[in-house]
Amino acid sequence: MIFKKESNFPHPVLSSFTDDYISVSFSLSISLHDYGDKYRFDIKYYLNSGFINNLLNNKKAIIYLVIESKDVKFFELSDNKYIDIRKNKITLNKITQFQLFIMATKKLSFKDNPELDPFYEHIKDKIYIKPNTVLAMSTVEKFDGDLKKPYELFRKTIDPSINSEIKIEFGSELIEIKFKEKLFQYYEMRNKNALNNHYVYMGLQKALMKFIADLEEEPGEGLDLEELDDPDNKLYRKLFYLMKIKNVTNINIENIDEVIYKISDKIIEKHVNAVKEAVINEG
Amino acid sequence: MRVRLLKETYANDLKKLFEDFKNDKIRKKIEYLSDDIYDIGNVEPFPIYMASGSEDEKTHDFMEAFDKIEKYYLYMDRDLTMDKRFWHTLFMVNFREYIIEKHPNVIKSQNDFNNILVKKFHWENYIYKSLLAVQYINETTNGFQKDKYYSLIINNLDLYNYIIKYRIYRNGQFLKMILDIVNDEDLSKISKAKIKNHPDLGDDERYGRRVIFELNKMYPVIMVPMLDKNELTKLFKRILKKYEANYE
Repeated sequence: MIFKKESNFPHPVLSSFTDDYISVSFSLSISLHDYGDKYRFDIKYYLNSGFINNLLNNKKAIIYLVIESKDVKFFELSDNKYIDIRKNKITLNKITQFQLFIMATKKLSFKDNPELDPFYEHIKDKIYIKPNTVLAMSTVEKFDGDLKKPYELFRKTIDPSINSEIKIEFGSELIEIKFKEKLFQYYEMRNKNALNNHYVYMGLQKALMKFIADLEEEPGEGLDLEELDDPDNKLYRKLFYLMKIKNVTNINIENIDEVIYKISDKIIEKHVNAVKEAVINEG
Repeated sequence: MRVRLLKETYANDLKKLFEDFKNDKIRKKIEYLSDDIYDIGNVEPFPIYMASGSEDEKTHDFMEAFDKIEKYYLYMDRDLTMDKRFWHTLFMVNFREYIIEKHPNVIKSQNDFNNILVKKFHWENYIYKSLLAVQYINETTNGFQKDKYYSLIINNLDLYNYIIKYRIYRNGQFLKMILDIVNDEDLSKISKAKIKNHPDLGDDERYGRRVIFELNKMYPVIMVPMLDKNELTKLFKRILKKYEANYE
C-alpha cells in the first residue's frame, strides 16, 4: 500500500516524510502508455544515497514498485525499467498511485551509514534490521484520469421552479446551490463571493454529512480517512482529497465544523467582514 | 447485450429509485441514463446476494457466481467491472427479471432493495467479493486447482472478507498464500473461532480477523506482502499465540 503519513519507525527510514537521513532523497516519476489491451508504465527514479545504492548493487536490498488503485500490485524492479499490465487486471480511470519501496533481503546493520542524521551517531552501530524490513520509500506519483474540474466544488444557479428559497443538491462532481431568485445570491453586490459564504458553509455541511452517511460502514461510526479507499463518487473524491491535503484524519457528525474550518479558508470571517463593509456602505 | 450505464447521480434518491425499479421505469427515464454505452456480448446473470439461506445454498450460490464471472466477466476491462454503476445498471435494468425471481422482496421492501441492488461496492458486497475472488484465483492458479481455492475462500469467508477489506492485501499472491497456510496448517477452525478472554476486543472478534488486522499494522515496517510462505506462516502463528496461549 502507498505510504505517506508520518509515522514512527523503529529504525531509520529514507522517505520524504521522515528526517532520518540528511541530504539524501528518493523520488519517482512514471509515464504511462496505452497499448490497446495493455498499459505500459515507464519507471524512472532518482536515489542519491550511497549507502542504499550500495546495498542494491550487492543484492542486500531490492526495489519494489507498488501500484495502488482498487487493489495493490507489487513488482520487483530488477533491470527492467518498465512494467506491462493487461487492462483486465488494473483500473486506471479512477485514482492510481505509484511508489517505490526498498526492502532489505538480509539482516543489515546501519553502522557504516554516513548519511544518517547526527542523532544516530552514537547508536547506529546498535541498529540492526531483519530481512523484509523497509529501508526507503520514494515520493508518490499520482494518476487521476477522471475528474473534469478537480479544484471546483460549487456551482450556483438560479432556478425559479424549486419549492424553497434555496436548494442544495449534489451533481456528479459538484455541490449545486440553486436559488429561487437572483437576489438571494447578493446579485450585483460588492464582495458577492464572500457574502455567499454562508451558503457555502451550508453546502459543505450537507455534503460532508452525506459523505459520512454514505461511506461509513456502521451508522454513527464516522470515518477514518487513512483507511478509507478513494470513493467512486467524484464529489466525494474531491472532498476526500481536500480533507487529506488539509490533514484531516477522521470525520464524523461531531467534528464537521472543525473539518469545515480546516478545509476552507476562514469563510466565516470573510463573510462577516463583507457584511460589515456592506452595512457601512449602506449607512 | 448492450448496457447503458446509469448516471452517477442515480442513487441520490433511493426512495424514488425503488419506486421506479418496482414499476420498471428506470430504463425509460432519461434522467437516469448516461451516455456511456457498452456492448458486452452474451452474458448471464449470477447470484449477487448470499447473506441468507442455508450453508449449502450459500456455497452453491457462490460457486455459481464464481463460475459465471469467470466465464463472462473476467476478461472485460477492469475499469468497467470495478465500477459499481456497471453492476447496479446490469442488475437493475438488464437483469431485472432475474433478480425479482430470485429475490421477490426487492420489489416489496425498500430495505431489501437497498441491500441487494444498491449495496456499497466494497468488501461487504457479494459482487465485489466474488469478482475479486475470481480475479485473484485466476491470476495465481491454473486449471484444476481453481475449484480447490474457490472452496477455500467459501469455507474461510470471514478471513477472506478481512483480507479484501484492507487495501494492502487486495492482491492475488497474498490471498493465495494465506489460503495455502490456512489449509496446510489446519488453521481454518481457529481462524473462525471467537477470541476468548479478551473483553477489550469487543464481543465478536475472531482469531483470523485479528491476525489480518495485526499484519496490516506491521506494514510497512515489515513488508508483509513480500514475505515467503514460511515466514508468513511463522508470523501468522505468532499472532495466534498472542491471543490464545493454549494454541500450539
